[in-house]
Amino acid sequence: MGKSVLFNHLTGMNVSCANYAGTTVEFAAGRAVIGDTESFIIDVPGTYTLEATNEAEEGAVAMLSGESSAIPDKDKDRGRGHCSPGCPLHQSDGRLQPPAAVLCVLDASHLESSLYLLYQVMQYGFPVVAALNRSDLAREKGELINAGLLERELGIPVVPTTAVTGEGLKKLKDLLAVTIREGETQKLLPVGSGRSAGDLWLEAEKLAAKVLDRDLHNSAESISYRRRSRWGIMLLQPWPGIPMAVLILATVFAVVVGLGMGLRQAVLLPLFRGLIIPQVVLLVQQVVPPGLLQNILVGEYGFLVKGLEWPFALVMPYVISFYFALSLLEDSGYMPRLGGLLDGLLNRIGLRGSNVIPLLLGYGCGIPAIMATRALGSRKERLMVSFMVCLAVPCISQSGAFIVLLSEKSVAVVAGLFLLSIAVLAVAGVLMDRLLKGTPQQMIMEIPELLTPRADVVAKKVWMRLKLYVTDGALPMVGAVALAAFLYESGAMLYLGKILSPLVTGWLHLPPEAAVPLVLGILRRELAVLPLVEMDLTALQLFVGAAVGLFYVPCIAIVATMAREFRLPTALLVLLVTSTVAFLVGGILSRLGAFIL
Amino acid sequence: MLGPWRRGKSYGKKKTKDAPGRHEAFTQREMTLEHLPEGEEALIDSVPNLPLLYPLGLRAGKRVRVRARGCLGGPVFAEVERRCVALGRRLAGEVKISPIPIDYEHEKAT
Repeated sequence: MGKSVLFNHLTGMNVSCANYAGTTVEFAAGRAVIGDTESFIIDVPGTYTLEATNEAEEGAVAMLSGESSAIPDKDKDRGRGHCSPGCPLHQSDGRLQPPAAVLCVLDASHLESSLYLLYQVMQYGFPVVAALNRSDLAREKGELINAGLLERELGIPVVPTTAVTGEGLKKLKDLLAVTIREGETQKLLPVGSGRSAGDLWLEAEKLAAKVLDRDLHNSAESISYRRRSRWGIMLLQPWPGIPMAVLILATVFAVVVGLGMGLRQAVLLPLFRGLIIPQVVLLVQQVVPPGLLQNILVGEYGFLVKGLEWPFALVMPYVISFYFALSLLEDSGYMPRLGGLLDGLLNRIGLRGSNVIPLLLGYGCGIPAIMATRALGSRKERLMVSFMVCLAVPCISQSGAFIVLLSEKSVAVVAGLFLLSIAVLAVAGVLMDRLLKGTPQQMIMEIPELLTPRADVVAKKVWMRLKLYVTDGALPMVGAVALAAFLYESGAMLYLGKILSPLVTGWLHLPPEAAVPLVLGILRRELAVLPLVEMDLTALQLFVGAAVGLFYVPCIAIVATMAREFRLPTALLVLLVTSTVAFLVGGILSRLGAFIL
Repeated sequence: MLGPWRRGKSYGKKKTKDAPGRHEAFTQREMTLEHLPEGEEALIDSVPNLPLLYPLGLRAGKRVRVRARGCLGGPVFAEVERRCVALGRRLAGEVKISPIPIDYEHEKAT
């Protein structure tokens, strides 16, 4: 663990990292000056061994064997910054350029299995440098590793590092430079190729025992390590783990809603409504003559009014509060624990505990959630989780919109909507488990050490996600609102409303202008909800509108991701199923609600 | 009527203190990780041939301890060399274990 953190340090880039296995599921390439030459560094998904067990790990193995499929086409056209024509990573025959050196990141706190992986990597015959990472954790456990002896035994450079603090990085860079230089001049032979896995394990065990200082073993654990590991176990036991989980999740919900509302009411709304937007409106009114264009810019749906207020004053506060809470969950190592606790329950709806991670990511944004399913074991599981994310896991933009829309009635309505989404998720899980082929797999999931999240890392993560939200979330939202403004002012919306009226007024019992969110919702998830804020709706209509928005088609970017990760027909099926479920649930709710109220 | 599998089920509910002693737990002919009482240590005899189990420390000859059991048929949380792994209940049933011989440490050293 820690590859991505090292990569970020070396290249100055910011790929995501967290305290559980399988965070990195796609490649990232970056440039770094090593020695006196510029090199490409590629961050590869982590793998326990080179016998890959999921799609993310397969990529790592393909990388070593030089298969060009290692960097899949789908990653190429995502603008990841590499693989333009004449890309230095590819040879003329399309195969990958063999690496000048491999930086193998060992986990010092789990030396044996890391050494096994290292032996496997060394069999490929590339120059290898080993970073003995997480050495701080090993020290805390009272394990002293003799890095010098390890270096002599392996015959390759070994540098103890602590990626999060940057310890040992300079030495690592220097040694990489030397290794790359030497690798150019001497031909390395594959080390120990043809040895069986059993032999390699024996060798790894022997070497680990040799370099580990056994005298201190079990006696010098630091007090904080002991306390953390006691907590780590307690959180797994049904008692007190389950009440703690309820408490933690309730706290997360409270932090996301509370902190978000606070930010919105106290900072962003006054800033935008009171300061920025009036200035913009004033400016536009002076420059643009009254008429269609002025209405499009600053009219009722004017994209300089709603287009600024919605993404920045209504949704952004929740983006900040959600990613703050998620970063804490990710870095503490709690997410796999929650997965372990919920495994028994999730088995009943065809899922496994490890699926909790992509599902939780989905409450932020569906795209990383669908990507994260690459780390799941079977295709059936990937498909099930991705489908669920598309159907009933609202992204944070949409959740922000729900909170804005519903909390004026009561926060309980927001909670009610989330309960409804969980109920639909359960039904969808049971159905898909029956319908999709494939035998259920048993869970094998590493439970990482419980760690205290570092304030600087959390702050950086929230900042990164916020930047990503502005470029990938807010700007498209401004564009979509501009489109809406045009449709609205040109009268096209009225026409659309008429076409959709049997569905909107007849079936869902909503006012005709509620056709607007249905059109905009195709572009962005939160836009299936936000226009309702401006309408005068009854409590039941609000809830029906929100429920339809929740289950309605995911945004266009998610559909594209589904098509890329699976196949186009799968993505089309997502569109069909989600809209059917949305209207079905919406119609039933409006009738049920009218009957009860 | 209740086979050994049934019998093992009750262990999970008990606290370590009340769990049957090591000898009672191992009286069955073939013991698996699924039924190892919480907190007890045992020696792994064999594991199913799955590529993920080996690197997580689940290999024959390793000492394993059950740290917790999930409810509703949830996983067994096994710890090998201070690395904790959640194993589905059925999978845990395929990990064969045996009691640790009293002079194990001595044996290993020589």
